[in-house]
Amino acid sequence: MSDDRNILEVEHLCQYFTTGHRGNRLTVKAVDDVSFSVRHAETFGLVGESGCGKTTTGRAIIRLYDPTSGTVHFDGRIISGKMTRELSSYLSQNMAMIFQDPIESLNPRMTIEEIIGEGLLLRGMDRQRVHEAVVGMLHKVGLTEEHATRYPHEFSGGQRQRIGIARAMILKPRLIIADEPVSALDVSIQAQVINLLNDLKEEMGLTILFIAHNLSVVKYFSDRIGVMYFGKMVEIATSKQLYEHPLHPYTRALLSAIPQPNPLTERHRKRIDYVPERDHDYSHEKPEMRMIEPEHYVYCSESEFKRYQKELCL
Amino acid sequence: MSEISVNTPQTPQAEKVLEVRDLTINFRAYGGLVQAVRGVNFDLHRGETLAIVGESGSGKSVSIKTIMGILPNNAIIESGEILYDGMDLTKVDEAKMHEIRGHRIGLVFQDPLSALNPIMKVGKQIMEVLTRRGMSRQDAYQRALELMRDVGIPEAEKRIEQYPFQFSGGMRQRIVIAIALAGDPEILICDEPTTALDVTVQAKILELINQIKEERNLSVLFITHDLGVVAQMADRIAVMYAGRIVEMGTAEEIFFDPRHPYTWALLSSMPDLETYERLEAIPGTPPNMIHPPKGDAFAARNRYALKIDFKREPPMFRITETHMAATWLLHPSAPKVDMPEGLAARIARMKEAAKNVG
Repeated sequence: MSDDRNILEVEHLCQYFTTGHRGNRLTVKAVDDVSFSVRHAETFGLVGESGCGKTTTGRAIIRLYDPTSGTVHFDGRIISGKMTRELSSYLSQNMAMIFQDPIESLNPRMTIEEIIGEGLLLRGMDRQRVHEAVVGMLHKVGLTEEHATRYPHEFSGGQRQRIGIARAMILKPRLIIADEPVSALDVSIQAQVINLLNDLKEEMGLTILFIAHNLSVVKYFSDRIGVMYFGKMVEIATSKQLYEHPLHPYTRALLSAIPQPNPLTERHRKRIDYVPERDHDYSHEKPEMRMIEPEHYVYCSESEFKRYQKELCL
Repeated sequence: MSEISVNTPQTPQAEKVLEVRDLTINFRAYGGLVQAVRGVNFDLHRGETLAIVGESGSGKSVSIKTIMGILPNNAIIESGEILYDGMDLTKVDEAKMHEIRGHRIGLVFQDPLSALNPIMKVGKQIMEVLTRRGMSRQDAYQRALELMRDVGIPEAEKRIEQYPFQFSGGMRQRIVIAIALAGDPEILICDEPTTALDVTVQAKILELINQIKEERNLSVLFITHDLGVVAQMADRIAVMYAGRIVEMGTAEEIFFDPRHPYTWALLSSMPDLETYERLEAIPGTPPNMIHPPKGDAFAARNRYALKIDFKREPPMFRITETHMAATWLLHPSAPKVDMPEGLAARIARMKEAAKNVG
């Protein structure tokens, strides 16, 4: 599956938003000093509650926002610097995004062929070849040629998400940022879209940054997972490690809150609360990202680090 | 196993607070009549939680809107009755409905932000229910404070003077629950109350609903599409598809001994934390209810469909006293079909996990 080369390296990424003027100025640290890397051909999951900065991280990487500070390397090249025409074209050639809401993210006045083929047309491909590429892509995502001339409103939610996926894939990007691609879909349709993404990933050797709040789906889909809380990355681990030995108290709280489809265990479930003031004492020691075991990083202080190591040895 | 009539005798000891009989609802739409609900039957017993599970468009929300008398104007109640306290709720007039709605039957909506009035203090929104019943302003104020504490809102004295936008999503949903409880209802209807919330907040709200249900001996009708949530909340479960209940049983029966292929598909289509194999996706999309398919509505997406499924709609077959399913696979002369292997493995895993816990 994945090899050890990093395709994406995010270092100390900060994305702040400010509102108000002078005295009322308020800075929201949506993403605060986040570092992680994504390997070639792996799926990296980003989870966390709404407002934790997972979507902002994805958007800052693909440069829908201008990052406040920090660097992002993609395939060895810095992509967080000044935006130039050349960088913009490099980004859209190599990265694509799949959005959460398949209704809002498709232009209602464009046909499916126009939506999917727009990227190719802008790159100067002639219409005949664009048409062929679009039809090929439609087949790949489980639609047919006759769908090409229709408009988005004629499709169901699952089909629209397939169109969104086709649009993202047609430029053969190397990195896909999938921002909650299934959470707006019905249960029976979610599995179809997850399977489709998995097939395309295998077939095209894609790297996926998968952003979601549904932990069961993230666990199923990702090789490694990063957990975010209030703009900080608190734990990074392989999905197996994260679910078997969660270390950060927030990760534990998050895992304990997932409802499992099992009535017998559900009725005895113990939920763990996460209260930062109670769970951490950072008055003397500064927390930072530390490696507990290979592939397993936790945001913790020196004493917590020792405690976590002890817990894992047991 | 036998074919059963529409009026199914339930376990005799359970007291029914609400009976829905053969409910059929159509909507006038641009393209024709949408058959949203097609002959739905269920009972709600005192002190139980009945969960109705289904995808969007399966008719679950329409059914409960009919109970509350808040159907839109283009809806037509074709037939059926909803029996509550000796009345048929499909026939009572608006004035009578006013006394029932919000007082004897409480409703918690999916989106707490649009359920609350944005320019009215939350305290006043709770008090409104109380003063309308003739309570004095002072008493209502005290009662509102009590309710806010009951639903777990800290610093109620301060929060009662605030507006909805000053509350987080979870706190807003607690306010909505407080308003629903203000009328001291005996039935609480929850329409996807946690879909808009984060998992950690969802867990707390579900605990709250369970707790107030115990304290007040409420009967809860819980609408959701999330099977994990159902497992935590429900005593009994009704699975809806294309305007019909296709399977109904206790939570254990539905999760550990599902019989309808749609229930199989629902249970196996979502990954749990132990899933590594390829997901069993349900092919296709739900049918267009302007022209519902002939025979079993799920037949076209059903791997196990028999020939008869495309011709005749299956009746409800009874499996146990509490468990029934509408599929021809349960007919005595049907070929023996087992549930998908992946699902059987998962159920075995779930039972194993339950042993370790309990």
